[in-house]
Amino acid sequence: MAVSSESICEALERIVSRKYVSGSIYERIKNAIDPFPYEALKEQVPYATVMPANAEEVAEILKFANEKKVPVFVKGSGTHLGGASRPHEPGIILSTHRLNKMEFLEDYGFVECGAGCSCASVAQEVERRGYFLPMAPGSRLVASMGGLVSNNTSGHIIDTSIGKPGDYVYGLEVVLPTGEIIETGTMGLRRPAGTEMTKFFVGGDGLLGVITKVRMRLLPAMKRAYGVVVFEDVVAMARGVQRMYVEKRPAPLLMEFLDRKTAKVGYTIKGLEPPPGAVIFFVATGNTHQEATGKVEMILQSFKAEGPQSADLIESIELWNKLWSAREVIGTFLMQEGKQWSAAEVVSNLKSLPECMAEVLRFNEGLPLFGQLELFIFGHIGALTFHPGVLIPREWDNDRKRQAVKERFQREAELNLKYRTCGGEWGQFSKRTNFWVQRYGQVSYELVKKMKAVFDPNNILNPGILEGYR
Amino acid sequence: MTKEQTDLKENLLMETSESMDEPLYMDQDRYIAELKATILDAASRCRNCNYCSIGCPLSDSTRGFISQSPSGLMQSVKYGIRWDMLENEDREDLRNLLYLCTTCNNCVLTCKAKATAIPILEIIQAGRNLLRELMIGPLPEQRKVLKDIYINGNPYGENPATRMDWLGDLAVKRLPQDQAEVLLFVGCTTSYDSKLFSLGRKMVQLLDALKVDFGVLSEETCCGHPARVIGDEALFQEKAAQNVDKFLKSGVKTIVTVSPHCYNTFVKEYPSIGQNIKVQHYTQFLAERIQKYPVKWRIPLPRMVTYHDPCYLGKHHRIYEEPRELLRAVEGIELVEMAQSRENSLCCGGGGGRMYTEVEDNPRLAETRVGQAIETGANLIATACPWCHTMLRNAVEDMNLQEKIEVKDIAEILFEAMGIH
Ligand SMILES: Cc1cc2nc3c(=O)[nH]c(=O)nc-3n(C[C@H](O)[C@H](O)[C@H](O)COP(=O)(O)OP(=O)(O)OC[C@H]3O[C@@H](n4cnc5c(N)ncnc54)[C@H](O)[C@@H]3O)c2cc1C
Ligand code: SF4
Ligand code: SF4
Repeated sequence: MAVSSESICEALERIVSRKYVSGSIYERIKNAIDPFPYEALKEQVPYATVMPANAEEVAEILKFANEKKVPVFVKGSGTHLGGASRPHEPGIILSTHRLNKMEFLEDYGFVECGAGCSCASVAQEVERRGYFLPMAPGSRLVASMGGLVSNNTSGHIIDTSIGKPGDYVYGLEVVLPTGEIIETGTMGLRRPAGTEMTKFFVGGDGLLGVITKVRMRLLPAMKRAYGVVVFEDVVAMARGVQRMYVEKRPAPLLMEFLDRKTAKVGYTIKGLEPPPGAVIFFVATGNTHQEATGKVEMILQSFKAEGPQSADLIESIELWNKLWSAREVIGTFLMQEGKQWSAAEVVSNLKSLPECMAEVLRFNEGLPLFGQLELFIFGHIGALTFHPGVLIPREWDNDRKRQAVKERFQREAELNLKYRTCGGEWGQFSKRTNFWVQRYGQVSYELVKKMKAVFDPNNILNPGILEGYR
Repeated sequence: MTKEQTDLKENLLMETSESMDEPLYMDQDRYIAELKATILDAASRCRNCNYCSIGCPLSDSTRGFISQSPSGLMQSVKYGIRWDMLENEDREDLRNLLYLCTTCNNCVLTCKAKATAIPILEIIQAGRNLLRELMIGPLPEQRKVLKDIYINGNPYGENPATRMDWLGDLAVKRLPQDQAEVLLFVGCTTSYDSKLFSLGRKMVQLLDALKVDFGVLSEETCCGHPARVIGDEALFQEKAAQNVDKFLKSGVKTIVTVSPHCYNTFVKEYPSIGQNIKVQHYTQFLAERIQKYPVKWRIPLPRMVTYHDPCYLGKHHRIYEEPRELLRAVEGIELVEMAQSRENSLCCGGGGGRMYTEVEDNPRLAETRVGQAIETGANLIATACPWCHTMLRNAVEDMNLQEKIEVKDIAEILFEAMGIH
């Protein structure tokens, strides 16, 4: 059988109900683009999209793909910011959209959800029952549980506070690239000691299997309290964060940073008086409101030692909500004037945070294209993470846009290499493969390649991510 | 009138009905080029975050293919242009996609609140206009609708001479021959759908009972909204010009519409061609009136009611409160909300020209909506739009739930509660 869109659709329709297979050129094109500001390429347009209903159908699709040597690209909501959701060659788009069942096993202490459930839909149900979902990416509305777990990203949540989603994933249903279905983990609340397959797939960058179901521990919701600090001198501000850790303060659940210019945008959107300097706002949790408030006070003490313009407990939940929602939409609001937002992820180590802050302020200096554009900086400073970003003009052609994004990843890599860190949000390969090889060495890279070959001998599943073609 | 609109009007060709499939503009090339430029510009602002798919009745409730989402529709028409595919063998694919949209406006609100504020609906509209110009759109059943509006002044192919039949023996002032303060614009669906005749009649009796000095146009014609959403801008402009002329000649101070679609058209589209009379949807008008002149409710209605927000009142104009105020005013009514209400309300599936076609949704939007209503425990769905009324009533019948739940327009409920005979 010659491979064509028609022949692939015909075969897929034998596995999955016809109405969940699409060979429409327009469906295929939409799956060939992602949040990057440049256009689809004709040579990357997939053959078809298929929406399987369960692990068995996923398995059959993968078996067929192996037989025909056709690549399969798994698609959650397609919002990956590192290039992983843009296929680099024609293949089958396997959408997890219909893997959307959610089951609460409260007497076991778990929620089980299909990989296609959106983070927001799970969070809503979890919160309704008095629990808390340890995932808070900016893309929460749409990002799929499968996509988030494959990245092992909790978004804005500070790792030192409650860890990564993987710390709460107690088991998975996975379809291997060769089409076998496996179960990992435990139904108990005691995590397995020793070899535990869950780890291969959580944060596995979608290389080793298709996650079809995720079992997550139900975390009781905690009381929250909020604080805000304003600094004229951002380097002193960074020293405040260092102090927080060195002085053994409780780590906040969320701690966001906005430079003065970016804060002005956010505050203005929400009708607030812009702050006189850069801001940090944060959340601490506790079993009681008093405990949470006590933690905020302790954290504020560390900042006060560095001479802020102000350092306050936020008493009004309305004010907090305004600050938080302003933060969430800054990137996109900046785009409302018609440009395309593009930001990096620079992660510091604790010791170098003030130095890193100073460097991030000069992030785009000397870059031929990225350097022409105005820099805005925000980040999850409690996790020592910065997102320096620019607005790319729409008029730039595809090549210039690609080049600008490339410069951004290169500079990000230089800094993360310098601080011996790595990105904590958008996965490790795709646009970051070069960095990964430099950071962890050729030996580690070859090892991952071998592992991929063991799981996926025909390189059927998400090819291109590990190779870093995209 | 802007220069562009004057040009458009001047370019109208007075055609015969046989040529309705032909584009209506003289300067077609320029128009097509403008449409393409508008689409490419707006679509290039999309960052593909897919937020707009949340709450879109296509991608969220019924389908799941990402091309069948707001940004999917927008990207599709963009690539259709960019990759020169508008007239190739995939053109019907594009048409079928663009005509799925119910024009509920959910995506516009989402993209504005959470993303890059693209006027998505205007782009979908421009896409439809473009396909119409290229004679690829609209859908076959919708072509007939355009013809019917053109020939008969209504989308149902009914004889214009019978437009007032719904009134029966009720006496109403006829404008502009008579004089009145208020013009009641009844709309085509209420005028021609026999199942809605009683809605029109009750509306008239209600206004009489409230001592409103009102009349109807002696020669009412379609507001043009169906033509516009189906993509025939020229036909829309023709209808708009006819109506504005009649409005201005009527001498009224306020225009009150039965349908949210006519309301939207009069407040959003007509002002640019000279319409300057105050326009209200009847729920706004009545809420104001009843507040000013309190009403005696003679018949208590002890019913549990849930209100379905019509998109063209809620999501398009943020009119959420007035319909609810009216329902709350009635003695005995307990108002309960569905899981999705106000700005999160689920579309009934009738907008955007879909009233006239059979769209294969699974599950059908109106049925999902009726299911949501049943879940509230209500035994009456109130709405304030003839299309929503029809869609929901048909769904109740198809689901065989007539024993459990009824669909009524707010005007009918008020009529009952006032004990008018
Ligand atoms: C506006 C915006 C804000 C964002 N904010 C954040 C943020 O704050 N923090 C953050 O970390 N990220 C953020 N992201 C990036 C993105 O949302 C996350 O990376 C998310 O994890 C991607 O989920 P998805 O469902 O979109 O996955 P996709 O983009 O569809 O897929 C991502 C990768 O995971 C693989 N994959 C998806 N599902 C599965 C599965 N079931 N099994 C195996 N592999 C799978 C895919 O093949 C692909 O390689 C943001 C993106 C946008 C557009
Ligand atoms: S919300 Fe706006 S920017 Fe995001 S995908 Fe939809 S149209 Fe594009
Ligand atoms: S207007 Fe409504 S139906 Fe149309 S694309 Fe937007 S959200 Fe979907």
